[in-house]
Amino acid sequence: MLRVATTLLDLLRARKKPGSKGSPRGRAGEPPVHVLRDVQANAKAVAGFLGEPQDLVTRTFKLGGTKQLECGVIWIDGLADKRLISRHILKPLMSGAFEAQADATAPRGNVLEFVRDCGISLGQLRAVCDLREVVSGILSGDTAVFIQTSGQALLASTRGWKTRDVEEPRGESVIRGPREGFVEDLRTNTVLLRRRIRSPNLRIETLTIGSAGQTQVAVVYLEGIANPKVVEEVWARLRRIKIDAVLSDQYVEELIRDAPLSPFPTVANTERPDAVAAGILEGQVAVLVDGSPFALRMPVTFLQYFQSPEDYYVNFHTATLSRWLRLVALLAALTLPSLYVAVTTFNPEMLPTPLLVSIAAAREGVPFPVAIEAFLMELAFETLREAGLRMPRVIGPAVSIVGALVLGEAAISAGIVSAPTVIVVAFTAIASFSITYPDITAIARLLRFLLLALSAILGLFGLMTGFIAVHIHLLSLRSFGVPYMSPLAPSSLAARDILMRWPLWARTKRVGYITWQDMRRQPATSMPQAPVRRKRM
Amino acid sequence: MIMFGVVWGKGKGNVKRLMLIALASAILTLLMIATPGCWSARELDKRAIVVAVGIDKAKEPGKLEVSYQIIKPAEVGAPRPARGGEGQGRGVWVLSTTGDSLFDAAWKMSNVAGRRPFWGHLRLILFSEALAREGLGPFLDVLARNPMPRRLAWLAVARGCLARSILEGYSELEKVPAETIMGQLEEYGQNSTSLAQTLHGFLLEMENPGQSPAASAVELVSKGGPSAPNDGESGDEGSEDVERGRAGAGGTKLVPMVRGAAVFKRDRLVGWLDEEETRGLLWVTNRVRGASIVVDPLAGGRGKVTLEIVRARSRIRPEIKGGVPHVTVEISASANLAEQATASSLYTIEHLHELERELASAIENEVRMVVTRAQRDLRTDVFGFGLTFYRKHPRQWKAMAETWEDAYFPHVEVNLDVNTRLDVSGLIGPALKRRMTGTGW
Repeated sequence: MLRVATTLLDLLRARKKPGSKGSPRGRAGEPPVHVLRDVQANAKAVAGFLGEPQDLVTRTFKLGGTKQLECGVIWIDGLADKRLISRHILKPLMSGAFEAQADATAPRGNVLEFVRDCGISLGQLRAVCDLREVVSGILSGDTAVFIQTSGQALLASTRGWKTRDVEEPRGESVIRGPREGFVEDLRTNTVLLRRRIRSPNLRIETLTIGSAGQTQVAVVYLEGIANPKVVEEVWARLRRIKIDAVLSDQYVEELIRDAPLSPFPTVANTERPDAVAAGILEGQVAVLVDGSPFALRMPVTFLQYFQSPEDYYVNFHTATLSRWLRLVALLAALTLPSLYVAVTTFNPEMLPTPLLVSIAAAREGVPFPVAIEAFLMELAFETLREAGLRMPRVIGPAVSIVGALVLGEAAISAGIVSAPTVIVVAFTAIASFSITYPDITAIARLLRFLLLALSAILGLFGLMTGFIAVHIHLLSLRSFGVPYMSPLAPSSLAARDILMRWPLWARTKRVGYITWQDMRRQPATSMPQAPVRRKRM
Repeated sequence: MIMFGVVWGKGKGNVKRLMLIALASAILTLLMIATPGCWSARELDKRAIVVAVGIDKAKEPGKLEVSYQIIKPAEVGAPRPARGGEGQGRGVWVLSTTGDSLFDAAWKMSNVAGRRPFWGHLRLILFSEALAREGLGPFLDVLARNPMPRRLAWLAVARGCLARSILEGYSELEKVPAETIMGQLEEYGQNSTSLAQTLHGFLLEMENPGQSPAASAVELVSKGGPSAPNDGESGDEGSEDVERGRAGAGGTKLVPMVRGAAVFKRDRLVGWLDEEETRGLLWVTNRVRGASIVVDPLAGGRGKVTLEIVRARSRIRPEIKGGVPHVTVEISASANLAEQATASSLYTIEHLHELERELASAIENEVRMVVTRAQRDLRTDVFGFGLTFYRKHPRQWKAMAETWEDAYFPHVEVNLDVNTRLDVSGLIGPALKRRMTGTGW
């Protein structure tokens, strides 16, 4: 009875999200290839599907006391855990005790069911009829068990390949706070999330993307908090992906994001499980991609990029200061070189006289116009940065010394570039690195050149034009239906979060522009208080 | 045309067409931006930063000689001492051009300097006394009309010498000599014995009904202060050395100094105020910021007491009594006891009140002096008494407006209401009487 109900429920769900449930199939529409009753034929067929690779292991033996039934166990070496196979599949099936039992109890033709029920002691086990499904199971590390006379195969989950340990995230390290980062293995990543949110409402739903890659992708959200329409939209967009393989989260991001031509990310990524958990609690939907140590978060707003996860691991005064710093840093990273060029060549009257004189003094004898000079220095810095990325760790410091110190100092003393330009470019670089998310740093770099060109040609007018254009673009963006500049435009009370990190006890409600369900985070009386003073005896 | 043909004609897919449109618009935008050129862009090393101009009569009649103090950035802002070891050079270059008008002369500057002049940092405008006596009106027009010079530049008249010689004057402390003058003007409030006037303020005062303007006064003195030998030739303002700004006898260097005020009638210079008179003017116009005033309370030369003005306010109250304009100037000042040379204790209520009264009469003296001078000798309303009538009694003002300075102003009865307060007398209380043997000086 219960089983029927569950199946019905499954069917309903499957209908709601066709393709989401059920097993990974090959190309849709291809007719299933049935599992044959002959073990050898099956093994051959599997090998045939895979092109008879060397790492395919086929172990056949006779089953039952009478040794009449042929049995074949097939897995791919390295993908499946050998110890699991030998301990939980081969050993029980080949042991004498099992054989005796099997002979005694198993009626002919239903051996498979008996093996499933009494033979294999593994948690995940399912019977399948389609040979293609068997193959794709084998390719994901499962072990297939064929039994003669049975038209089905058993797929036992024996996944056990080498994975990286959970390490501290490289790109988003914090001083205080958890040091776990996502790894390439999807299962480990979902565990990292489950350990943070143990609510039964945490939904982890998977699907397979990529006709060749067959990558597992998990959609994670909190039922009852995430906006169901957003969840639905994420699913719809994921299902629309028809690419051959998804090799990293960036593939998924580019294929599902809003405003695909915009340089601004409308889907955020992070390698911190705590950041994802925080997002999920705020109503975001996370997408994990197998093989990628980054999680995608959506919907995302522009101002969220200025909220580092560390903000919530230090006291709110400090966090507020860093939030301000980050905003200033972004502004500097975007506009400082162009502002410098515009003011010195178009509007020197805006500078205090002593500063102007200092800059003018440094400019004496410099052969290039300021704009060219700034452009060259920016270019030099970008080259250095790029070189630093590719450089082996051992000679990295040497490059930065030669590049930054020697080159810069020599260029100034040779009078080829002026010192203020170097200062401006260097500070811009530092400012751009103090932005929390590399995505935004990259955009700042891109737009910096654009604004530099505009201000070199049109001065402050050009700078403002570029700035306004960027703003108009930002205001036109949406991420999964959420306006990108929320909560500034459309404005809401949640905008108070931008300039201040409020104390945790003051954050009684969710931000309100990502989800509208279950807004209450905690009661309003959460502020810690000293106990009421007792009367002195 | 070809471009659009490509775009609309053969667009295969939507994306391709979009790409082509984007490319076309990018090229067009680039052309649009690149063709007009950088119309007001000018590199800093192609600009001559003018910090001060001096305007004199040229030797040829009817022509102006305009002098400029241009910053030599390499010497002023050099991050490290310039190579060559020639010692510290002057941070400016003073050069002159002549022309028929101010603009005409200034327009020729780049021919001499080799760089386009930049007026955005012009901080000091100096007129020679001779020009000022003939009227500044014709020259102020371009300064107000042209957007480049700032209205907050100081406006001063060179007293007893050419404007150019002031620009060539020596400065011990600053690499840019104009900065010394600017510093003197900015610090006028320390003693309030000189007037700090901006171009903006001068234009306002000139255009105000019922007011005549005053400008700052700059003169050349021997290095170290006004009481040097050169000053001994009193009255001999036309001395050739001073006139040309050259080093005086014995190789003393001449340094510019801001002192007193230049008083105008409409736009013509009519006279100079000395230091006390200037402070009187500032008392009336609420511009005293600080001062040190020495009083001698215990008459009989037993010791002077120096008071430091810390707060001063004043207000002009116009009244018309029986058709005759009267003016009451209310001055309130707070002072600290800064120094006392007498051994007696002034630490009693009576003495403190006595000091306050002395201070009030000292202030009154200064004001009386300048009011009398303005009414009798100069016949110019630098205080803006007329302005207060214009504001308070506009109807009666209409009748007086035309002849205010000549017919009414000299006869305005000025009442003084001086209110003084001694705030702080210092922590040591009475003087160091046990050790003090002198009787004061």
